[in-house]
Amino acid sequence: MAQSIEINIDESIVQDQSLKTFFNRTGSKDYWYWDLNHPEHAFFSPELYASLGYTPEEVKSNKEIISNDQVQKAIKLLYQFLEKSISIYEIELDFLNSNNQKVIVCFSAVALRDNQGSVLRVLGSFKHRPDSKLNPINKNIHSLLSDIKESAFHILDGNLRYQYIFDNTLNVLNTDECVIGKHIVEVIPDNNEKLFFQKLETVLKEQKSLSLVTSLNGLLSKDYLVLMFPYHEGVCVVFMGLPFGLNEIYKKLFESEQRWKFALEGAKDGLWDWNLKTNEVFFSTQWKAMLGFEEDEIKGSLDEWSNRVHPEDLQSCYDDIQKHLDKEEEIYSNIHRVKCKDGSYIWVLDRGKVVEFDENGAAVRMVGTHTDLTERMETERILNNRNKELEQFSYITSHDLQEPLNSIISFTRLLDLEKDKMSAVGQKSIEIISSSAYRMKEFIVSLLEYSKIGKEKEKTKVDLIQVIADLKTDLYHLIEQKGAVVEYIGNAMEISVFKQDFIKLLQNLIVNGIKYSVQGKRPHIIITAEESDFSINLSVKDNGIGIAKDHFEKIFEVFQRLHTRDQYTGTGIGLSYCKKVVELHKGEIWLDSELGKGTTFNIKLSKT
Amino acid sequence: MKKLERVMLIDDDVNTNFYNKILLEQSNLVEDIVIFQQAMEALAYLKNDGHNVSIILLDINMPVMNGWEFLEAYEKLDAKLKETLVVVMLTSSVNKEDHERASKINSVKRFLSKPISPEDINGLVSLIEAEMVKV
Repeated sequence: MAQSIEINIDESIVQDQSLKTFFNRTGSKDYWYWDLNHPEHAFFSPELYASLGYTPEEVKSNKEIISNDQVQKAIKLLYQFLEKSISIYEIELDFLNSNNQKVIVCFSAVALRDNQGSVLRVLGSFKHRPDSKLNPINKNIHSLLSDIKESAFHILDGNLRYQYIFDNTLNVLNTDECVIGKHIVEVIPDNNEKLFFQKLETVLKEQKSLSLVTSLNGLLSKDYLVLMFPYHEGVCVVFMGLPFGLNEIYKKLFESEQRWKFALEGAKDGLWDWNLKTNEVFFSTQWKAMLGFEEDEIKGSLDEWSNRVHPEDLQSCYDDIQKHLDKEEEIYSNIHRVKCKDGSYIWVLDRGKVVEFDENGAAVRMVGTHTDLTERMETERILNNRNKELEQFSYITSHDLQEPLNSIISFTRLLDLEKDKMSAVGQKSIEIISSSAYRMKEFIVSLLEYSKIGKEKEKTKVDLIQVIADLKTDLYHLIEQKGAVVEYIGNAMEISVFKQDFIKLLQNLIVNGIKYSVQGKRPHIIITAEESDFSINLSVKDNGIGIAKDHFEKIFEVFQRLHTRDQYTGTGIGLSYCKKVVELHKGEIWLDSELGKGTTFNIKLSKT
Repeated sequence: MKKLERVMLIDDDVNTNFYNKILLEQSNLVEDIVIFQQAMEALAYLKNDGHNVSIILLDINMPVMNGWEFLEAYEKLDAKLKETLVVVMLTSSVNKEDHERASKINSVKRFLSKPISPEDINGLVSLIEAEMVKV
C-alpha cells in the first residue's frame, strides 16, 4: 500500500477547515481524505489501523496490510468516480488484520468540486463488515437506501434471529447493533401485526418475495413500505419510510397491483414478471397451469419459457421484445407457440411492458401476460378454410353458372328472330325466358360483386369529380331514359379509397336514387362531399319515393327488398353492398328520409 | 361494307361457339369461320402461316390454356403475322380487373361481354377497317 498511496498521518491536513466541518457534522471517527491539489497527501483516520489491530508505527514500517491488487482496484474505481462515470464511490477492500485474518472494510466517498466541476477533494468514510457473506446485498441496499432518509434493513437468519442491522438514521425502530443475535419477536412483539409475521414465515418457507405497507400497529411512527425477500438461509426485511401523503398512494398502488394480478388470473391469463438483470421470472400459477404444469414444476428462470417456445417462433419473440426495449413499440406483443407438459403446443398471445428502469434508463423489470389463443387460432384456421371455399364458390358462380345462362340468353335471342312464326303463347314464353334469364344474370353479377368486396389490397387516390363524371357516362342510358339530373356540389377533392369498391358504392346509391323515383317526377340526384382531418363525408340525396323510418335498418340487410318486382326491379343486394364497402373503409352509413319527398344517404369514411 | 376473310373463335363452350357462328353468318360480313375449343390448337393453326385470319374472338376462362396464356404465346408470334390481326376478348362477367388487364395488352383491341349481339359484330367490322387504314 505504501507504494501506491502515500499515507501521511499528518495532523496539519486535518486542520483543513472543510474537513473539520465535514467530520464534525458526521461525528464519525472513521474517515479518509484525499486532496487532489496535493495528490501525495491521502489521509486515513487512525481508526482504520487501530481497528485492524495495528499501531501507527507498524503502518509506517510498510507492513503488508492490503494487497497491491486491492489497492489498484480502489484507485481504478476512484478515477471512474472522479471522471463521473460512476455516481457513487463505494468499494469493499480486503485487509489483513494483525492476526493475519482477512477483514473486509467498506469505503465510500463524496467529491468536493469547484465551479467548473473539477474535483478538489475526496472525503469518505469506512466501516467494517461483520460478515463477508452479506457483502453483495449490503452494497446494493446501502446505495439504494442512502437516498431515503427513513430506511432500515434487518437481516435475519433461518431462525429469525438478527444477523445484521442497518438503520440509516437510527430511528426507524430505535434499534442498533446490540440486537444482533436476538430473535425478531424481542424487537417487534409478535402480538403486534399478525400479517407481518405471517408474511415473514411465508418468505422463509416458500422462498418468495413479499411486501406490505404497515406501521406495525404504531410501533413505527407512521406507515412504512416493508419488503421481505429470502436471503441466504434467512430473510432480509427492508423498511422504507413513505413520504408524507405518499403512503396512501403506495397503499392504493399496492392494492391495485394485487387486484390486477387477481383480475388477470380470473381472466385465465398467465402472468409473468421478468427481472432483465438476473433473468429471474415469476410465473403465475395460471401460467403454469396453462401449460399443464403444477405450481412446483416450473422454477423461476427465463429459460423455463424460452426452452418451451417453438424453435421457429423464438427469434420473432426476441425481435419484438427488442423493439419494445428500443422504444419502437409501446407494448411488446407477439403470438407464438409454447410447448405443454404433454408435448403438444398451444398458441399464446404474449404481451408485456417494461415497468422499471435503472438510473441509466435501461430496462430492469418487465411484466406481462400470456393469453391462450389455441382455440381462437383453430377457429381462425377453420374460418380461413371456409373463406377459401366461399371464394371457390364465387368463382364457380361467376363462371360455370354464367356460361349456361349466357347460352339461354343467346339462344332466346336467336329464337326471338323467328318469333313471327310462333303462336302468341310461344312468343310470350320467349319473352319470359329472356327476362328471367336477364334477371338471373343481374343477380349473379351483383352477388359476385358483393363477394369481391375487400379484394383490393391497397387504397388508391381518386379524383371525386372524375369518378362522378365517369359514372354518369357509364349510366348514360339509365339517366337518359329517366330524364334524370345527377350533379355534384362541392370542391375538387382527391380521396384515398379502395377504388373499385368505392365507385360501385357511389354507383349503387345514384342508381337507387334514379330507380326509386316518384312517377312523373324527374329524378334529381345531388352528391356532396366534405373532408375533415380524419374522415371523408359524402351524401347522396334524391327526390324519390322515400323510405319509412321502420325500414332504416332493415334495408341494409342483404336480400331485403321493400317492393315487389312489378313496382321496382332489384336484387336486394345493392345497399348491403354499400354497407360492406363503408365498413371496409372503417366508416358509417346512415340515412334521412321522408316518404314521398326523398332520401339522403350519408357516408362517413375514415381516412386511416 | 367489305367482308372479313376469316374469323377465329376460341372458346371451350360448344354452345357459345355455335351461337357466335350463327350470329357471324347471319351478319353476312364474314367469308369463313374457324372454331377451336382448345387455345393450344388455335395457336398451332396460327403458327402455321396464319391462314389470313382477321379477327380472333377469345374467351378468358378455358381449361389447359386460358385466354391470358394464349395471349402471352400470341405476343411472341411473328410480327408480320399479327400486322392485320385483331384480338377481341370475350368475358362472361363484367369484371373490371379483367378489363384493365386486357387494356394493357397491345394486341387486344376490344373487350366484349358475353353473349355478344349483332351490333357488336357490326362494330368489329368497322374496327378492322380502321386498323387496315393504319397499316
